Amino acid sequence: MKKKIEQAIKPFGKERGNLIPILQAVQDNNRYISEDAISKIADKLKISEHEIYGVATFYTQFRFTKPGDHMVKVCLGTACHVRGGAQILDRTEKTLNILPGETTLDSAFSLERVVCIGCCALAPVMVVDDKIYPQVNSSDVGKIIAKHRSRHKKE
Amino acid sequence: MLTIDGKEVDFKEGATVLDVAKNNGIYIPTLCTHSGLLPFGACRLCLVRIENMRGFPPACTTPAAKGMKIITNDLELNDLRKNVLELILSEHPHSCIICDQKELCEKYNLSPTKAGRVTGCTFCPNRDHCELKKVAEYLGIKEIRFPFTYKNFPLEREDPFFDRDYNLCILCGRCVRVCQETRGIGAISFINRGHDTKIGTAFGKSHLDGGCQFCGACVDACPTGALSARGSKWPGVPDKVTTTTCALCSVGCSLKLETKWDKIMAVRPDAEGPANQGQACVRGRFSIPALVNGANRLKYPLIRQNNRLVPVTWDEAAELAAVKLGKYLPRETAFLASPFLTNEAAYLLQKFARVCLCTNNIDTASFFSGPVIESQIKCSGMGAGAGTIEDIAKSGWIIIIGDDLLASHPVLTVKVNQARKQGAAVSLIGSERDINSRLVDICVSVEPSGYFPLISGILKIIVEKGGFDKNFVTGQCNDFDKLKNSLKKINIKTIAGTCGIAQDLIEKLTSTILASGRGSILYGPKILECDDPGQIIGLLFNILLLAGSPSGIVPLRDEANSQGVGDMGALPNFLPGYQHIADKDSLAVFENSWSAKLPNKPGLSYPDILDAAIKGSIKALYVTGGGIPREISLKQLDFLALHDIYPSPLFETADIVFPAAAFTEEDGTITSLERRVQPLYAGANPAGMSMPDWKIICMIAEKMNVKGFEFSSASEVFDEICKVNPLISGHGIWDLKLKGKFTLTPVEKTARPKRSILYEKPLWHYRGVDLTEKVSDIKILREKIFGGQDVQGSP
Ligand code: SF4
Ligand code: SF4
Ligand code: SF4
Ligand code: SF4
Ligand code: FES
Repeated sequence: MKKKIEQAIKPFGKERGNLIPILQAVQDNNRYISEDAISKIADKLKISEHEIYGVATFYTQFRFTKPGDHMVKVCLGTACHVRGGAQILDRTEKTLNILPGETTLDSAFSLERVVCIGCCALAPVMVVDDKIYPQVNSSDVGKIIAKHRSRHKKE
Repeated sequence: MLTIDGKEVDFKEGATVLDVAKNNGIYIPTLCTHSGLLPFGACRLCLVRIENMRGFPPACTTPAAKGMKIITNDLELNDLRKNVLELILSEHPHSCIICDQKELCEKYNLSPTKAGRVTGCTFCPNRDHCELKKVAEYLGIKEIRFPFTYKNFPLEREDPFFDRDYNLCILCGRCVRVCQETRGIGAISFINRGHDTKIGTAFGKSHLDGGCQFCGACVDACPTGALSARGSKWPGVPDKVTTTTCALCSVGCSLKLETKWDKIMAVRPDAEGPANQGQACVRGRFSIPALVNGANRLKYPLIRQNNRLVPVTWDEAAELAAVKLGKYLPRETAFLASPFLTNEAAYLLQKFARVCLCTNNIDTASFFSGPVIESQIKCSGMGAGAGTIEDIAKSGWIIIIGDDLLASHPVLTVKVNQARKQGAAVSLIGSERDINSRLVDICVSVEPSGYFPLISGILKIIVEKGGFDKNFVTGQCNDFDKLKNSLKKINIKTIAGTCGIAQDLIEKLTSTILASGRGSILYGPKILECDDPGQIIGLLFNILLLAGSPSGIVPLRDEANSQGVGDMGALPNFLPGYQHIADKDSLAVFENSWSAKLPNKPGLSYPDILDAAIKGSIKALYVTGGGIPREISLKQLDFLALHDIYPSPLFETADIVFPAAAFTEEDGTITSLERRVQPLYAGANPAGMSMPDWKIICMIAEKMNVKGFEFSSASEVFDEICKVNPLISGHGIWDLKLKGKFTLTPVEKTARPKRSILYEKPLWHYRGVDLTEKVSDIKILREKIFGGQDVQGSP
């Protein structure tokens, strides 16, 4: 993991303007921005870790906890919202016992709330990894999660 | 020229509209602006009207321009500002601001209530200093027309020194900016965005884990009660405020002592302080009350009777000291001047030693003092560094060598940071742990044994590349050829090998000097671990001379008045003003003004006094606060007298203990590392029956029936100092009179001289009192930052 971070940081120069591209590269390589990554970037750019964290948290694209092996996304874009996306999210939160942005204790799932994934016709949608589940209703949530959980165990 | 509120005024290039208003006595309410910080434009309170500009531009970020017509106040602007402030207050506990019983409440509620959470000004530790409250009063806020939100952040009280209640935070960013811009630390930041924005640290770390230095700059910058010093937030309005000088290190920050019930309750940095301009550090800002108010401060003179120290009157103690001291031969007597004594006390102590006891066995109790003074005299003719704190801020390059600057002289890092922002390259020679690596550009990590080869290498490159200031060197420096010849044998590659560093690092460091003219060199006590510290100082001085200016060298002595105590002649070989004791004319002058016959042979130095006391050839020792390393036993002594503020391990052997006043309890002067003579003013009376050191000395002299010690105040002593010491004529930086020719020091490998061992000492101390022992939060901090380890040097 350390290697991955270093690899991601290496190509960039020491100029402050590289902060966002470096953060993006680290997230691409390592899936999230760890404490370790921030302190490495801090050493390189000579900016404090707090300043970097501050900048990074300003953008919603960055994640600061290690994501689970499977990413569960629930859409709350306008179309999904009016068709009950909020209830889907609520049910997912309860099923996984985490809030959006968090990861389950066994690191199997992370939950994210997204705003439109571009298939409004299928609303409300839920996405697990790359699989899109259209027209979900609350009672489906448990089944979908269970399916992925059993698959996860087999892996 | 521009017009502001109908008045035609001039303005300086680069001024903002706010600056112009201020300079012309026009008040515009502001919250996010703070002196010394760049304009930020976050609070929107300073909105003004400018002809031909759309909307209402903020005065703080709008540059003044020729022909502008500015209106700073009218009904509409006032309404607008009220609206802005009401919005801010809708997320800030404001019950007291809009309460119609406010005035009575403030009058009779003398200090803030120690409620768990602040729900209004009556409960707020900041209520006597609050800018938010003042602005609300100015704008006449009577109601808040928006629904109130309490952000419900948890109170943050886990860190040492100060508490944080971000429910009071208005997100003005002053704390973040002062920490980043001014201090160069960046321990806090804006976290998240939009409605979730708050001030915090990466991953919600504690300040202790996040690298905060607890300098308190953020607390002082905060316009609200969000940040508050824990130890001193409840006493309410102080009875009096006294501006004095910090005596905890040699930077010489001006501080404001807040006194209540004759106790120092709080301390804030003085914005007008010539050395610190409103900055301070964890010691000056947070630890003074605990340091000086300890319950076991010495309150009575003590003398040894039946092998116990028992309290007696001043009269008895002074009488006994006079009788005892009179019994010994001059060569059996010695005095150690604490480098924390005031100039007045140090002056009288050496006068006492020389006049009353006819001995030159007096020295400053610091290992860094002797070698530093000696080589400084060689270089610049006087026992002082040749740089000022402002020089540091204006340097084109800076070298810090042999010191953990951030821990030892935190406010100097502010100046280093200032220079760096204007393009100065900052190099650190020492260990990487020595400083936050973000504060330097080049870090050469070598042990003190590598300083000599490294500096020789730097000199070689400068001389060979020919990038030095030829005019200055030929015109004002002697011995250039000697230096050049001595550099011939040196090989950069070998040096790099010896020091274990890359050759191009030495070249890179040197190129910063060659590139940018005037610089500063700050050297610290670790050079004492070199074979020949005196030569190292000479070689460092060479670098400055080659760069074309003799000024810019600053010794980083820890103790607050090590400069002044030396200036006052508390040295074995110098009279006040660095006049050599063997110089007949100088001696005659002093014999004349003191009406006494003076000893004319140099006395023992500090390390020699310690050795002699251990061996027993010194029989009577007079110690004025610290200076005796813990490992040393003074059992051989016949007589030991102490000035102390707290009980110390020496109490086992002491025959007389005089309780001394702390620096917050006496008037006088001390002299900072930039030779700035600054006043001390008492913020409280001396604890118990303790007395300022100078008075104690006078009392004993009187008992010995010696004339010349009849002073009724410290300022009378200072008057005499000004008369006899040609360097000192009043407050302010004394003139080094740097002119004439300077001598370059050749590079010579010297054998390790016989030298006393260096003793461990606490890094942060005052007169031998370890701050970690008196201030519990300092202990927590020290253990965190330094893993509890101490640096080497004198106690
Ligand atoms: S921060 Fe100021 S306005 Fe707010 S409660 Fe405290 S004193 Fe009152
Ligand atoms: S105390 Fe000093 S270092 Fe710590 S956050 Fe405040 S300004 Fe920064
Ligand atoms: S804590 Fe104080 S200084 Fe910092 S942003 Fe909040 S109100 Fe401003
Ligand atoms: S830097 Fe030195 S003088 Fe200034 S507050 Fe700190 S200890 Fe006192
Ligand atoms: S003072 Fe101008 S926006 Fe805050």
